[in-house]
Amino acid sequence: MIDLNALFHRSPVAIVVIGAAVFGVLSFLVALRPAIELDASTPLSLRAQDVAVARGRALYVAEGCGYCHSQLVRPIFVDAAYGRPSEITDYADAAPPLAGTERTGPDLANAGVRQPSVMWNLLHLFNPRSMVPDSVMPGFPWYFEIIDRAQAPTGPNAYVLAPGEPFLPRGKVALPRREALDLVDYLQTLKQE
Amino acid sequence: MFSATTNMNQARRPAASADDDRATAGVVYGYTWSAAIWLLIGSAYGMIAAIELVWPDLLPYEWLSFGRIRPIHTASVLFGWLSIGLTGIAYLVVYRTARRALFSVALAEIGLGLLNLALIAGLITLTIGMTRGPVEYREWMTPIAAVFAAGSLLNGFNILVTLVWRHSDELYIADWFILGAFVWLPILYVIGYLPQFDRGIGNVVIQGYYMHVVLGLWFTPLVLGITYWALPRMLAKPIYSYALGVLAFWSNLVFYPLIGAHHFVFSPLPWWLQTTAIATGIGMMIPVVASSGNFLLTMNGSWRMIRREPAVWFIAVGAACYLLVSLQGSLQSFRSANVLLHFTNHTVGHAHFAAYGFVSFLLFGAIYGLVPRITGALDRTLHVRLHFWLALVGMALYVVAMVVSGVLQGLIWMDGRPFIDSVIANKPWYMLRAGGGGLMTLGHVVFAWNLWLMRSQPRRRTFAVPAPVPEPAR
Repeated sequence: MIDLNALFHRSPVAIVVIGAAVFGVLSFLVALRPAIELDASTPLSLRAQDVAVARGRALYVAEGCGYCHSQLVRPIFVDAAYGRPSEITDYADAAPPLAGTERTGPDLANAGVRQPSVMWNLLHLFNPRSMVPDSVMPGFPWYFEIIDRAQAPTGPNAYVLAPGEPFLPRGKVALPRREALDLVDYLQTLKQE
Repeated sequence: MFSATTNMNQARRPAASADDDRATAGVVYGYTWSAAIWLLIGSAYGMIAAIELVWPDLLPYEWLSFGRIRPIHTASVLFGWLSIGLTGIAYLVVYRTARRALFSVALAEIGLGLLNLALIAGLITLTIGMTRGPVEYREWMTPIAAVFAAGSLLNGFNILVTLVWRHSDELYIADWFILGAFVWLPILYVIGYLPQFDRGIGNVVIQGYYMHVVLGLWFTPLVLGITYWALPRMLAKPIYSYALGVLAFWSNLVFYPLIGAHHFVFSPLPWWLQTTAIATGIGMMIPVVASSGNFLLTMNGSWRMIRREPAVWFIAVGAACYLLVSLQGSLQSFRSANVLLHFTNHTVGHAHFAAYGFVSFLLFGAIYGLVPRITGALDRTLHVRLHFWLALVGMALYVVAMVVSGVLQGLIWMDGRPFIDSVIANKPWYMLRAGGGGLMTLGHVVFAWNLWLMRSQPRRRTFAVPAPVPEPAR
C-alpha cells in the first residue's frame, strides 16, 4: 500500500499529476461535458443574419454594453416585466452569448418590444440624460456628427437629433453615423415576447 | 511523522548562498514592482469607472468609456497586481522552502516579461474595443491570453524543477498550494479559451465555470500558499495545524471547480448544474474554515507581538475576510437569496471583498513581512500603518456601499417599481463607493512608496573580503 501522505510530502510531481487529474475530471463533468451536450442539442439556426444588425451587435460587444445590461430573463416574478423567460435556444446563434451578470441598467432581452422608437434610441445613445434624466449610462457622442441646424438634411428618413441645451450648444443638431444606426438596428431585433 | 532519511539531493546540491539570496531578491523585487505598478494603473481605471457612475458626462471619451475600461480595471488588478505579485512572492517561498537557488533566474525574468507583455497588449486592445465580449476575466483576445499562459507555464516549470531538486527534506504545505495553482491555471485557460465555445449556450456554461474557478484555483491557492509560509515566519512560530492545511488543499480542489454555475441561477442552464453549484458552495466552508481558522489560531497567543507588527494586521484582516466573504458567497448563491441579490451591486461588493479584503490584504502582509528580509532593508522605517488604515477603511466603505445598495436594488425590483428607481437609490452609494475607492488608491500610493523603501541595501564597500558566513539552520 502506497503511503499517499508521505508521497505528497516528498514528490512535487505527485502533487502536480494528481492535482491536474482531479481538476481535469471535475472540469469535464461540470464544464466541458454540459457545454458540449447543450451546444449539440441547440443546432445553429439557418436564419440569415442581417449585416447591419451583425455590425450593431459587434459594437454592443466592443463597447461593453453587456457589463451593465443582461439579456437573461429568469422565470421568477422579479423579471416579469422583461418578457418571456430565456431559453437555451435564445443563445444558440450568439457569439458570444450576452446573458450577463449585472443589471446596472435594465435587462435588454426584450428591448426591441419595450422601446420600439428609433428616435428615442438614437437620442438615448447620444446622451441618455436627454431621455432619462436620472440615467447613469455613458453617452456615445462619437457615433454622431454635430452640425449647424441650418445644414441639417430634411425629409422623412433623416434622423436629426435636437436634444437642445445642455446636451448640444444652441443652434446645433446631431446626425447619427452608421454605427449609431447599426446599434439601434440591433437593439430593435431584441425581442423575447 | 516523516522519517528523516537523508535526501539524496542534499549531498549533490549546495544550499542557497548569499549570491542566490541577491539573485532571488532581484526576481522578487522585480515582480513586486510590476505588481505595484499594475495596482496603481488598475486603481486609476477603477476610480475613473466609479466616478463615471456618479458623473456620467464628466469624461466623454471613447477610450475612457465605462464599458471599455471595466475589463481593463479587472485585468490590471487581477492579472497584473495579484497574479504578478503572488508569483513573485511564490518564487520567494519556493526559494526558501527548497533551500537552494532558483532553477533559473533568467526563466523567472522571461516569465515576468511575458506577463507584462500580455497585460500591456491587453490594455491597448481593450482600449480600442478589441474584446471577446463581456465574458468576465477572459476578455483578452486569444493570442494575448496565450502569452500570459506561456509566462505562467514558464514560472510553473521553474518552480516545479526548483522543488524537485530541492535541498530540503520535505515539501511544505505552502509548496503544495503553489504547485497546484501553477498547474490549474493553464488547464483553466485552455478550457476558457477553447474556440468551439465562442458561440452558443456552451459559452455560458464555460463562463460560469471559468470566472469563478480562476479565483478559486489560481488566486486562492497562491495566496494561501504564501500565507502558510509567511505567517509562521513573521510570528517565528509553527503553523497551528499542518493537517488542517492538508485538508484545506484537498477540499478546495474537490469543491471549488464545481461552484461556477452559481452565477447563472434561474438561467436556462440545467437545473442539476445550478443545484450542484449551490450545494458545493456550502462544502466550500470546509477549506475556508480550515485555512482561515488555521491562520487565526496561529496568531492566537501572539497578539502582544502582533500589536507592534502592522504587517501581520494585513494577514489578520485577510484571514477574517476570507472567512466572511466565503460565507457571504455561499449564502448569496442560494436560490432564495438569488431572487433578491442577483444582478445587483451586491455581487460587485462581494467581488471586491474577496479580491481586496481577502487576497490583496494577505498579499500586502506577505510582501511587508518577507520582502525586507531578502532585500536586507529591515532597518528602514516603512509607513505600513498608514497603508493599513487607508486600505481597511477604504475597503470597508466600498463593500458596505455596494452591499447596501445591492439590497436596495433587489428590494426595489421585487416591489415591481420602475427600473430607474433602483438607479436613483444607488446614487449616494455610488458616491460612497468612489470615496472608499479613493482611500484604497491613496493606500496604493503609500504602498508604492513603501516598496521603494524596501529596495535592496547597497553592499557596503570594504577593503577586506569578508569570510563567507554559513547559512544558519532553519
